[in-house]
Amino acid sequence: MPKIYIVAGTPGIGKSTSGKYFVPSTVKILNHDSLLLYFKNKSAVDYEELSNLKANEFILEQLNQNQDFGVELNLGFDNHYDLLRFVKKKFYQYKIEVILFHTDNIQLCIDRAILREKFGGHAVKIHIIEQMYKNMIPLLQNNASLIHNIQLINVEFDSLKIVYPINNNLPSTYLELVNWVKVLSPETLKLESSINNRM
Amino acid sequence: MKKEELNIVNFTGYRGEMTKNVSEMTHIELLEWEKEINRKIRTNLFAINMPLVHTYNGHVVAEMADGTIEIIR
Repeated sequence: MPKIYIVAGTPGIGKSTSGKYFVPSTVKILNHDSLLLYFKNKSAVDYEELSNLKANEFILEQLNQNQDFGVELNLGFDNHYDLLRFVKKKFYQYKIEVILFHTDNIQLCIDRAILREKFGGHAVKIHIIEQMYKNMIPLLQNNASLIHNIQLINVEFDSLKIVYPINNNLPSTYLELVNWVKVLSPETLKLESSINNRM
Repeated sequence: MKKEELNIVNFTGYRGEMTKNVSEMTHIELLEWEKEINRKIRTNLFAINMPLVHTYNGHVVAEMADGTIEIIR
């Protein structure tokens, strides 16, 4: 079964920096922000439209060839789930795996996003970061049935750690301090895989 | 930009780098892998001229590849 890896998280969380370590080697991962920056640096007036066109072209090509591939998506607004809905409807043979990077400390995302822009990266407004951060967990809970498998990565200023599936290397006290995982309660998510197993 | 130029844009993204599924790793392998990732993140950020944001002496700082440290908060 072909697979799509969705590298997800609030802007500034580190998707482009860390996502590749959670996706098998050889799998291509689309970075829409890089596309945007590419066309912007080419001084293309319609750079947003061009990058969308190119991103859609890449995705359709992979889907039509039944290839495993990855996409970076924030999953911070409901329309970010449109790709997942489209795939479930038209390419139902695909399994969707979400690798979610998240944190209890939104300031981490804001600090990194501000610095990224300062050093030539793409810009994201702070209120957008705040809104996406707030939406992240409820949206994931509402859309869990689209997802076959999920990995959760807790991000802190000095490290990142896999918190789900259960990581036996973590001290038993660690998870008690990660509030967002408690709120999300991954064991209770109605993932596509858990629904199918019950049938 | 013309449509013909759009067609010559190469794939803009990156490739995965995971060689073994984390769920199949032993306790020791996972510990080593986590340490390795945290090391790689530092190297990769510096390679693209981006700062590493981390904590130092109770402050949030941005560290550059040349060792310069700027206090953020």
